[in-house]
Order: sequence, then C-alpha cells, then structure tokens
Amino acid sequence: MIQATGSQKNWDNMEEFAVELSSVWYSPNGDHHILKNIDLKIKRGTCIALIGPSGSGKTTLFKIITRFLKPCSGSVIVRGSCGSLERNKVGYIPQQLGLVRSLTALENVLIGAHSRIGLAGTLLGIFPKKEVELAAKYLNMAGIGHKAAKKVYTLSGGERQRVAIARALMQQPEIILADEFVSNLDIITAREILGMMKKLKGEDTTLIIATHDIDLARDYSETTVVIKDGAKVMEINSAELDYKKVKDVFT
Amino acid sequence: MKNGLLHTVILSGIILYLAHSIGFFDLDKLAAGSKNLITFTHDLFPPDFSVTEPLLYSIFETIQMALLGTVLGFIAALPLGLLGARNISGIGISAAARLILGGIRTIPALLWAIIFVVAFGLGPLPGTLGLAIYSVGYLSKLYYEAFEAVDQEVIEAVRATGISRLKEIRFVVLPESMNHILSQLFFMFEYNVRSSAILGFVGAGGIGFYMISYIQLFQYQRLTTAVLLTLAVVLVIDLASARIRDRFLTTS
Repeated sequence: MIQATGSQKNWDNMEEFAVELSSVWYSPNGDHHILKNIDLKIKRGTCIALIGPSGSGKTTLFKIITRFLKPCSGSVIVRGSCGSLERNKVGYIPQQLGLVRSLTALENVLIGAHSRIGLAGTLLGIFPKKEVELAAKYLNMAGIGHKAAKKVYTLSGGERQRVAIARALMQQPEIILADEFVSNLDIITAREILGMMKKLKGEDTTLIIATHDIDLARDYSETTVVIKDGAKVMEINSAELDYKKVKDVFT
Repeated sequence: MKNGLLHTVILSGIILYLAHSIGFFDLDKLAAGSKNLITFTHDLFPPDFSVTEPLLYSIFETIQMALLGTVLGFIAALPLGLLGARNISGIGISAAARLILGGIRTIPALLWAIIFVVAFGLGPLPGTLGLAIYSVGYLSKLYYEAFEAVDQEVIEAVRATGISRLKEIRFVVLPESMNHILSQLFFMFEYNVRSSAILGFVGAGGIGFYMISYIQLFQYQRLTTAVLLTLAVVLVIDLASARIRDRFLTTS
C-alpha cells in the first residue's frame, strides 16, 4: 500500500495516492527538527495508522498534510496537488476534537457543510433544508442522532467523538485525518467508534489515524507507519504488527 | 531571606517618603482638615428630600445615558475587538487596532465628555458620546482578550473544513466567547452608570449637574439626597447586573 518514494512522479496516475510526502523536513525555528526526512505514500481508499510515542511528530505530520504548517524542505502532495488545498476535501479531527462547545451537535455538523453553501442565510443561522437533513443523517449514522439538539458541552466524551465524526463526514471528504481521537475513551467505546468510522468512511475515502495504541493500529488499519523522534522507522502490514517489533520505538 | 528583608526596608522607605512629600505628616494641616470634614459632615444632615422629584428625573437621564452609551460602545467594540484579536486578524492589523484602542483608553470618560460639551454644547448628548467612546476603548480590549482565549484547536479544526473567515467568526469565535461578551457588557453598563453620575460636573447631563450645583451653592443637605438616591440606584443596578452575569458564567 505504501511504498518508498524516489520513483518518478507519474502525473497521469496521481489520483492513485491520496497523500504523497517525499523528503519532508520540518522545524519551527530552523534548529531542532520535528520531522526528519519523511517519505510517505498513502494509497487512496486505504486506512493507515500512524503510531509512535507522544511527541514523536504525529500531530506535526498531520498539520503538514492539512497545510497548517509548511515544511522546511521536501514536497507535500495531497490529492495530486502540491499547490493550494481544497480544504473541504480533507476532514481533520484533532485530538481534542475541536467542536464548538456552545453550539448544538447539529450546528457543529453543519460546519462541515459551510464550504458548499453561501454566506447570506447562514450568517443568520438559516441553512438549506437539504444540508440540515444530511447533517441529521450523519448524526444518526454516527449513533448520536437523538442528541442533535443538545449543546456540545452537555455531551459525554464518547458522544462528542461521534459528533466530530459526523462533522468530518459532512464535508464528504476524500481524506480523513484523525489525531489520537479515541485516546481519551475507554477501550470498548474506542473500538466501537473506530469500527463505525471504517464502516462509514466510504470506499474511496482515505483514513489516516494517529494513535499510540498498537492493538488498535493492528485491528483497524491495513498499514502501520511507525514514527520515532520525527523519523519514519518502520512501515509494515498492520496484520504483522506486534509488540516485539515496535518495542524499541516506545522505550 | 536577607534580601527579602532589605527589599521590605527599601520599599517602606519609598512609601514613607511619598507619603511625606504629599503632606501626610503635616499635622497642622491634617488637624485643620479634619475639623473642616466634621463641619462638612454636620452640614450634610439631615438630607433635604424636597428635591427628590427633579433628582429622580435626572437619575433617570443618567441611566439613559449609561445605557445608550454602553450600547453604542458595544456596537463599535465587537468589530474592533475582532480586529484587535491576533488569532483572527493577524499580527499586523491587530497591532494597529490595539494602538488606536490604547490611545482611546488613555483619555478618561470625563475628558471625552468635556471635548463633546465643547463640540455639541451642554446636555446628555455629549455625555452619552463620551461614555460610548470610553466604552469602545475598554470593551474592545476585553473582547479581543476573550476572542484570543477561544481554544485555538477549535479554530483550527473549523478552518480545516475550508470555512470562510466571516463564518468562522459567526459560528466559532462569537458563540465560544458569547458568555464573556455578555458578562462584560453588563459590567460595562454598571461602570457607566457610576461614571455617568459625575459627567454632569462638566455639564454633560445627568445627576452630576445637580451635585455640582448643590456644592457650589453650599446646599449640602440637598447634595446628601442626590448622593443617597444615586447610591440606591447604583446598588440596585449592580445587584441585578451581577445576578445576570452569574447566569451567563454558570452556563458556559
């Protein structure tokens, strides 16, 4: 699924890969490098897990892919483009989810639709009926439809995860990046949510999950990429993943 | 520890020197002043309630000025606060906005009122304008601080959906800081009720006009009535506003 880079870029075939990083270096101050020479090709429609201890650079890598951060060197190609990113095609779920606490679950999900709808009515809080129905549908699919009208600050951790997933799906994205987003949940809920997400994402949608849980990576992804101290140290078929192989990374 | 003692001694020395240079140790002066204070206090009582009716009318005017000034200030402070917030407008624009707002804040409400009295003449209009400008300076500062306190991760997560900047403000920044916005609005209103009471001193309308007249005419018993009525009204408004603010803060 993921191959070492270095091969010539084949522009006719660009849609094959959702994300292509080659020789990406990143440093906030030009001194200490948080990402070191990252090569990564992620095939469209797959689910990959990014594992590594806290501080290994997973979140930074996500911010490079979403172009919140610019690499010092190297190329970042997302959906075949190294230029501007159509942000609505990339769903990003940060570690703390980034939900607007004082809005309702439904309003949060509607945020995912904003790039499709105009300015006029929405500033007054009026949305196209079609989008409201779609948002309700995604909330139902995420198993939180019954709390659509509840403000997010009244929801529990697991319920918020579901809202965040519905928001990401509402964008109808081609790529979903989920950063440690089940780390705060108990293991049963975490598995339930990951399973649901894989089921809901759609065939062509690429799912990239950062986690530090090896079991979750093995059970819910096809390929696992291991990062340590900002460098990619291993890329492995997730089924072959076990503790022995990654022990060195976490110690 | 030794250093701490030294610092305490030096600091006390400075404070004692300041007190001395202001005249705190001039016993003759203090004694004369105290005597005057006692006479003055004596003259204040009993309050003369015959002037209650016109005073109530002018307190009403004071509240009107405070309310309108606060609302006008609020309307201008929201966009200015957004301009002043680094996470929304970027470093360049926010620095410029902050410089202007800082300039506005250096001039006290009373001075604004004098400027507007010169421009528009006596009455509640210059007082209201003065309060409005002063409110803009303070509310904007409180607002850009509230906007900057909005969780950056929420802003980033929403920006990642490709939302436009205007919608980001409407659906993230404003709802996330709404409790602060409202609570500070009420605080500003309380503050303006109190400060509008003295704007009348410079002819800018409200109860202060009566206060300064009673002082100049030595009608101290009427002054007491004016002060007591103001106190009562301010207390009621403070209490009501504090209760409303509590409700905003507990639901966040």
